[in-house]
Amino acid sequence: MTSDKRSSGARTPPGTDGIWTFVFIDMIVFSLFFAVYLSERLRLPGVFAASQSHLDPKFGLVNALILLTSSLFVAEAVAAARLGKATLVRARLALALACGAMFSASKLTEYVGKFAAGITPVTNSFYSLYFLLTMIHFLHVLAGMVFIAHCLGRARVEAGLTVFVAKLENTGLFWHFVDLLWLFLFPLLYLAGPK
Amino acid sequence: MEDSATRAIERGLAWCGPIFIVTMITCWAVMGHNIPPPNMMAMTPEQLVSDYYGKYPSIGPGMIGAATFGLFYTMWSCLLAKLMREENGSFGVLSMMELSGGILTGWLFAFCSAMWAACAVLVHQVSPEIIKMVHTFTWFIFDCTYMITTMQMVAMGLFTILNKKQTMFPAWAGWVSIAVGLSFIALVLMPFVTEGPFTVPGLWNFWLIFNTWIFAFFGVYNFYVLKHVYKAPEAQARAAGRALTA
Amino acid sequence: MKPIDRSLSLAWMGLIALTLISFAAAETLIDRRLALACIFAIAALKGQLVAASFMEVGRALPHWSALYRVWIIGIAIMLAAGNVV
Repeated sequence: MTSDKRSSGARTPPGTDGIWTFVFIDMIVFSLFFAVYLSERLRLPGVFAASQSHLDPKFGLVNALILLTSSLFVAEAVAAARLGKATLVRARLALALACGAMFSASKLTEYVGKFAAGITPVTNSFYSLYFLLTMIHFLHVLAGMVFIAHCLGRARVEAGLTVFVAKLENTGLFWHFVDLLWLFLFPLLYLAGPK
Repeated sequence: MEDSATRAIERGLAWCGPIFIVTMITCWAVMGHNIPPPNMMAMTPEQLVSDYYGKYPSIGPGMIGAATFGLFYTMWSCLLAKLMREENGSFGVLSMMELSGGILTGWLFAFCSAMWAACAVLVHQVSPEIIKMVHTFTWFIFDCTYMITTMQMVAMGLFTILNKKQTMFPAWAGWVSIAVGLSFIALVLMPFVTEGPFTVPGLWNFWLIFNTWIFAFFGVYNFYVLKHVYKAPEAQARAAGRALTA
Repeated sequence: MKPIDRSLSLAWMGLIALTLISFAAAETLIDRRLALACIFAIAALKGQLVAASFMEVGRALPHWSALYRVWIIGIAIMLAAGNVV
């Protein structure tokens, strides 16, 4: 298998223009969600303060650490793919998937706890936004895991090929965006409430 | 049918898009007093009658106007389906998804507007509870079947992005179409909340969703469709990524 | 497990450290405005680190590089300002 010319340090942009466009539009959509969140918080500061105090920041922290670690693994998989090292690509992608599974377990545990306490997306505006933001983010995580699993399946045969490297770079960019979103969701939902 | 007749019909269908926007804003939004719609889940039946249907006599005629012009959306969607054909001229699955979504969305506009017109016309003849029941039921149908339009927008978006030979629509418009279509998911909360951004008149479920749908999706694709249908046949075929047959 | 690219590992360590600092700041700082400024400034810093090291925005087309970096800063400022009020 030939190494991709990216591994030689040539300054070709990672991924395709389409994924950069898609991620940027996703950024705009989340910007609108954040703006709506802040608008509601301004309207109902008491409701938001009281509701945020019921969120356990340790969940947010653990999820942040998991996603950051998964991003490392995906970035390393991309680096390995550029060098044509299929075994390393598969190992790192498997670890990234494991992180995704851990995030999913953590998120579901948190949701189950909320529902058990009688807290649902229609309890109040804060919880509507909390559930919507985190569930849409969670859907992004699940989609990212599907893409990673696909790349993991193809890596044995395709690692090192230009088309695979581009596919993995696209997947990586999407996954890092998922991580980037949580970098803001974590402080917004879990840390910014009054203590 | 002669080519000149076909082109004239296609141009007429292209103009159905702007006509739809103008008439729906006039009839459904302005005459129908839907800027924003009443927050029915937080209103008693008596409030819905006194503050909305019983207060604005223009709602009935406005909704009948909306019922008439709602299907202009479908006619525009038919043209889109034709433009989205495969390279060999056949209607692929994305084209059919787009058309299905366009038919159902147009039907929704017409059908739901007719239901609201009935509420307006019968407001003083039936109990407020029945008025609220029909009004709410219709809004659930209108909003909660959002997947109809999401399907259409995702199909158009995928065609725009994946068909590398077509230059009718820019790639960014395809991504925006998909993103806006998927953002409708927040409508699932509408039946269950009485205040906040996800109510019928809420900041997200009305103001953002409706405006992004009109301006970031419908308006954008209208612009490029109108641009396309006024090109010469050879230019149209090239833009659509199809070879012109002899 | 041997790192494939040392710079990636260093970036990850920095991100983990900043995350823990942010958490500690939120839990311990009494001045709420100071706490908010800290946590969102750290979020912006982490965002830039993810963008630079993992997303490789430095290698992206110039307009994407600029837009992504500006988005990270802009969102951090918006969220900080919106929570201070």
